[in-house]
Amino acid sequence: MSDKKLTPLKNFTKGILAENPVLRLVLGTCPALAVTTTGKNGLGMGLAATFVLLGSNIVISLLRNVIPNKVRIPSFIVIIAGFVSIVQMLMKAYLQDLDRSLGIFIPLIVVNCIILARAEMFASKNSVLPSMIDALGMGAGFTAALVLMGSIREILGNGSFFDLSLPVLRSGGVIEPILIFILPPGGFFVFGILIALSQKLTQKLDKNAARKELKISCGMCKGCEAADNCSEKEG
Amino acid sequence: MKEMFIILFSVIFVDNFVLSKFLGICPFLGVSKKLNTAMGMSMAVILVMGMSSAITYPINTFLLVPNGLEYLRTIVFILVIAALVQSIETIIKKLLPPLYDALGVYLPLITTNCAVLGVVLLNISNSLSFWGSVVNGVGAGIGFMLAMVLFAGVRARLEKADVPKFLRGLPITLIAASIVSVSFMGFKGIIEKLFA
Amino acid sequence: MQNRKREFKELGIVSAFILFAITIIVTALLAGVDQFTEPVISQHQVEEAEISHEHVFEDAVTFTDRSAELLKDHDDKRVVTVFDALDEDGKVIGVVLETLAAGYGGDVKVMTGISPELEIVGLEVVSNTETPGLGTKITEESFMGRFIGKTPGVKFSLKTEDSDMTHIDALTGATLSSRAVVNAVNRALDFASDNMDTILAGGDSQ
Repeated sequence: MSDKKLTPLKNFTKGILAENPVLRLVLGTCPALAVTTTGKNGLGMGLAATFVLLGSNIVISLLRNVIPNKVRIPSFIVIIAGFVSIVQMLMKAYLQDLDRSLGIFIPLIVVNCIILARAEMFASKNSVLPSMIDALGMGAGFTAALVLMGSIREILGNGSFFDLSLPVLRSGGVIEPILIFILPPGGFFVFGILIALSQKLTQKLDKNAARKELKISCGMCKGCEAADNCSEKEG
Repeated sequence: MKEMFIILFSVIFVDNFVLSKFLGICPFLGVSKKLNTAMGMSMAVILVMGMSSAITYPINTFLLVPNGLEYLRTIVFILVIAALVQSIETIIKKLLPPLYDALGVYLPLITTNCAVLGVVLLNISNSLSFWGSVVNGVGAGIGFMLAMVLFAGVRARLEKADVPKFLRGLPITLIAASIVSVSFMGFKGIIEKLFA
Repeated sequence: MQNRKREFKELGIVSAFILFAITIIVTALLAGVDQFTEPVISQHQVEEAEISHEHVFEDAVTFTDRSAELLKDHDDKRVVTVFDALDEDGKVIGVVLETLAAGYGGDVKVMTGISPELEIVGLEVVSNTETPGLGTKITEESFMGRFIGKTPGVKFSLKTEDSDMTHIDALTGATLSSRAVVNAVNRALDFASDNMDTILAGGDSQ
């Protein structure tokens, strides 16, 4: 992949559609399933992760010639953890409600594979501006997927949309809320359906991409060197 | 003692890390295709979770909290876990080669497994004691293993099933996970009856 | 660039040093941000606590933190904070406790206002991670009201068989969450009845 040919616009949109981190690359599944009980939580998580992604991509692309290869991964983790801690503190100070509902999934952004994968695959090989655009695109894709999932689960499971009550779907309305959608099984179910839909959609849009079936790499983190080991063993 | 059993039981069944807390989903989906890889990965996870719970407890209680350094928790814990995984790998490679053959390939993957960082953070937010943390860590690993092994069985059956084309691959796997997760919801409330 | 990288690779010490330097810089940065956010966070906590305290103990005017003193020798970590409730004259007219109990999705933190006669005067679920729409109903006034003004000093139970306890109807579909509140309130009652003398005495010395 030569990044020279990547126009800024393409760089940005690839994260939202073709390489959507959640729905196409199947990265960052844990927060995608765990916090998406409401649209608002999905949005909050998406923005928090985008902030971390942007920060770490900028710093890592700036330091890409300074960080020795040997300590690359630990250095990335330290930088990412630093940004995560900043987000944690800022949210505790200014967005307590959101901080409470996202709970430990805020510190867990550290181990969100999207961030390490972008650091490893993009920011450590590109200059600052493309890395920023990449981070924003990926962040937007992550956020969009989470908001979509959160909204579906909130509408069906709680009869509301971004805390706005939808009387038709409330108890006493036309359809009772289907509570299971905001419970853990509903998370898996909605995620499964969304992945099926996004597969279908990309098949329609791009006949060539259709042949590529979604493959889950072990740990799903393409940034981890060890992933290869594992898929060998698996295969 | 009773308290320890409650912690152990709830973390395995009621608050199963994978199926109700959504921690460690990636390896759950990625490595649960075959029973033996599922077991190997789970054993490694149990080991690392138990040990990192034991190590992070004193670090938090005697180092971070007394000095008002709680804001460094995330960064310290992730580094401790990374270092721990690295040392376990080196040690068992030297001392227990058979164990290394069995678990070696899974160990590097565990650093970025959110379930490990998740369990040490939950130990603290639930203000567990030292032994409570260790039991919680090991139990979370056992719960992970239970989910992995059960799901490996489900997936083996799924391979032979005639799945609609639209859902083939990852989607049907997730829908199957959803049904396994429903079955784990049946454990809720059981604790009171067992330990009352 | 490639050459430089390779040179570095040979030098383990340089690598270690750079990693160390990055860690130090990040830590320093975090300390800086903490300086900035810490006051805001504790300010919020104080304000929130104040509002909740007034809500669970309406007769009281001021509240003083006795946690450090009273929880020092108390090894049950499930009692989180203890505040005296004082009236206008600075007389202790009760106690406000924060206690934890396990619910369905994790710990439920409940704030309970208790009079010297061990009657529950007010209740608030401070934080919970229960299932939205089911377990979160424990935060509704209609549920919390079930605890208020019952026989002083008698603990609560969801089971009708426990005839020596005050019966509380569990919420449909949220037995575990209801039980968490019951357990948290009972824990507060236990602590209050064990320590009421000290609590009341503390006010006099002020």
